[in-house]
This record gives sequence, C-alpha cells and structure tokens, in this order.
Amino acid sequence: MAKGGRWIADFNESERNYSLDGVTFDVCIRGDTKIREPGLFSRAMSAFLLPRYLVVCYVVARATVSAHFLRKCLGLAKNRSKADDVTWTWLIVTVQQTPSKDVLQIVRGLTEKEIGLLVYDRGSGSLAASGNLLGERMKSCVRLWSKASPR
Amino acid sequence: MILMLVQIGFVMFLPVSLLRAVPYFLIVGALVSGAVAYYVYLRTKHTEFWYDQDKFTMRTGRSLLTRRWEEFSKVLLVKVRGTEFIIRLCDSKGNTVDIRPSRLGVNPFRFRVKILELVDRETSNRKSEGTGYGTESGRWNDFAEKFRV
Repeated sequence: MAKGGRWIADFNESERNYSLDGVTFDVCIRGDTKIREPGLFSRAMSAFLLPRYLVVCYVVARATVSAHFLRKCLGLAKNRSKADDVTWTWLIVTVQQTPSKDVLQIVRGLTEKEIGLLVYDRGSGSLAASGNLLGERMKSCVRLWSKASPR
Repeated sequence: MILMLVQIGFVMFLPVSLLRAVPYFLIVGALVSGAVAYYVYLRTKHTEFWYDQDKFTMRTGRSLLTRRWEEFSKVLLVKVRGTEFIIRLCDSKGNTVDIRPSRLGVNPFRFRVKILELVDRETSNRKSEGTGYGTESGRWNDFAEKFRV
C-alpha cells in the first residue's frame, strides 16, 4: 500500500484478521485500478485509459495448510469476490513447512482467470503459483519473498 | 484572502511618501495572518488523542469524542488522497470513526497494530482451521509492518 513492488493497483484499504465464514485471513487488502497519485498526467491517464477494476488480495499465514483448508479459502475468496463485483483476486498463502502434493496440485490446477493463487514456503524459500495469468504475474510482481522474509 | 486584498489595496493606493512603511504593513499582515490561522487551526483541526486499555478520547478542534474499544469490531487502514493513511474503526452498526495518525505524529502502521491489539485481544487465538501463527504473531506483525500492509 505504501511503496515498493511493481504497480498492480491502488490498494487503499487494509484489514488485519479478516474473518470470513470461520476462516481468518491474516490480511485483506482492497483497492482498484484507478490511480489517485498527485499529478495531472497520472490522473488523466487513469481517467481515460485505465478501467476501474476492483481488486482484493488475501494473505494467509500458517505453519502448514491442508488441501481441504486451501480449497475452503479459495471458495470463500471466490464467493466473496463475486458478491462484491471484484474483478481480480489474489490469494497468497505462506507456510513454514513444505506443502503437500495435494496442495501443489490445487495450486497448479487452478485455471480460472479471476483469481490468482500463490503458496510460499518460508522454510525453503520456494513458491508455487497458479498457472493462470494472475498467478504467473504474482511471481514477478511480488518481490518481498527473497529480500525480507524473516526466517 | 481578505488580509491579502487589504495589503494589495494598501500598496496600490498608498501615497508615495508612505511607501517606505509598506514592508511594515506586510510584516504586520503576515503576523496577523499567522495568528489568525493558528487560532483557526486550534479550533478546527488540532487533534489530541488519549487512550487506555478500555477506551479512547479524541479531541478534534472543539469536538470531543469518547468511545470504548469494545464497541468496534473492525480496524481498517485506509489510504486517502494517495499518500495519507487513516485508521478507520467500524462498529457493528456501520458507524465509523477515523483517526489520523499524521496529525498525532505517530507511525500509522505501528499505531494500527496497537489499536488492533486494543480492539480485539483475542487475535492471537485463531478460530480458523490450520495451525496458526499464534506464537509467531510478533514476527508476522514485523513482517507485515515492513511491507506496510
């Protein structure tokens, strides 16, 4: 929200411990693709060229996740986004232990274009992203993993 | 604006013999403007904030607001006007209270964490599925605060 990383969207609202149907997402960040930075050129470009897509990013931090839990998070995120007319949804899951094959299968098998999924293993520093465009772009847009992730 | 117009009028219509006194008029104008502006700021924008474990009191100008932390269920960090962050407290009825950390001289991210702890003291015990970061909440807060989310 403040700085760093490539520009994805103007994230302007952040909520910690966002509870959704019994699941607590550590962080939920909402925003849209309209630029609100000062500057006439930026605002003009935003007004004429950029569509206003609502976007949301959920972050879940756990020591380990099961395939069932991951499916549940995905389902909740998708349903919530549908209800709120959100165009792009990101779900970032950080774990401390190597995710199971079932979890990786869910990640790589996600093809829907409205939601991107990324699972980051803080223990080994590896990450797995969904095969859709959002997932592929997440790997290059989110730069925090290698630099400052506390281990 | 009025003071500026008065000063312009003085400069334009002042007799030549009194032109030497113009800087003094400007200085007086600046001082008066500063004093009036400070008074207006104290009456409308100046913010003071007191809090303890149960409640908080916020004075903005002449208005005084006292609420209890338990009344609120959500703590949001909202970015307004591109650069300023405010902390928005939401209660169950949909009412909100905005706190501006910039006017209090505090770091908005750390302040948000502090308020979150006061509003919900049960965040360390997660009710959701999965092994939580209960014992690592401090590390998570450092991690999230570093990236300002």
